[in-house]
Amino acid sequence: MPDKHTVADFMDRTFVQLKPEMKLSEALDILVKEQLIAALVVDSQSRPIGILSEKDCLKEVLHGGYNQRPLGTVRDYMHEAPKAVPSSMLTSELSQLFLNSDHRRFPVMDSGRLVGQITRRDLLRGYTKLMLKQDKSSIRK
Amino acid sequence: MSLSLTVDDIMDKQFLTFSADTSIPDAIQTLHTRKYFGACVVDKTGKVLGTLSEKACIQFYEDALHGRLDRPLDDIKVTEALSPDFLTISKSLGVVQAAEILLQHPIRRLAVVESGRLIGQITCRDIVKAVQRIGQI
Repeated sequence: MPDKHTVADFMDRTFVQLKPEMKLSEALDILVKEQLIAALVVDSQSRPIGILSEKDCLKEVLHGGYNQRPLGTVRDYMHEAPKAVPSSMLTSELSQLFLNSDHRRFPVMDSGRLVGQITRRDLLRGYTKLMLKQDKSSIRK
Repeated sequence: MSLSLTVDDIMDKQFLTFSADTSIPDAIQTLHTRKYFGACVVDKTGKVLGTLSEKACIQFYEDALHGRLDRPLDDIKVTEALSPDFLTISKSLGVVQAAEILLQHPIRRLAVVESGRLIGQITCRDIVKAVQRIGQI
């Protein structure tokens, strides 16, 4: 089957964005409330400048304590975001990016503008829908 | 920081597992429906075999969509897509030690076993939530 599906078909356009100046405790509350493993950190120009994960938070609360001293801001604990992908990228290409790295999410940018994000979960969800559409018998006996 | 909490105090005892004969599409559907990011795979005796790997699943879907599989995707079981990064701990381990293990490995879930059987699991989120709740671990 020729692969004509692109990142635009599967990406999340309404995703949680964290601000770098946000307090870590505030960001942590958002991650827990929204049931997210991680979220993109976006600057005032809507550029993805990092990712804050539960693990980044865990590192801080483990080594710095939660109420022993004030926690810093998201900028202090976030890690580098992977290079953004365009929404026109074929999903087969995106699959290779996921398979050849440990990244769980990529920012999606078109013409320098952040338009979404795509996670491994989004990709698997998209593939599942695609296969259901293609041939229901291949998913459900 | 307090060192008093053990894994037993905060581990998830109502967790999702997949039996070894669950197909990959069924497992993925269940994860999406129930909003889980991952789950352990257990055999009939409750022995934990591993955790489902998203990466391995992506590879199977890719192969299925491009006609590279020698059988229907429905025939491929979760045991063929287990993560190579999988660790078990005992419930008496301190939460701080569990957190350190999670930070040292590319995983976010530890299986808690007793006499070879899966009795719980603990994730980064469980620890973070515990810290939020009581201010320390």
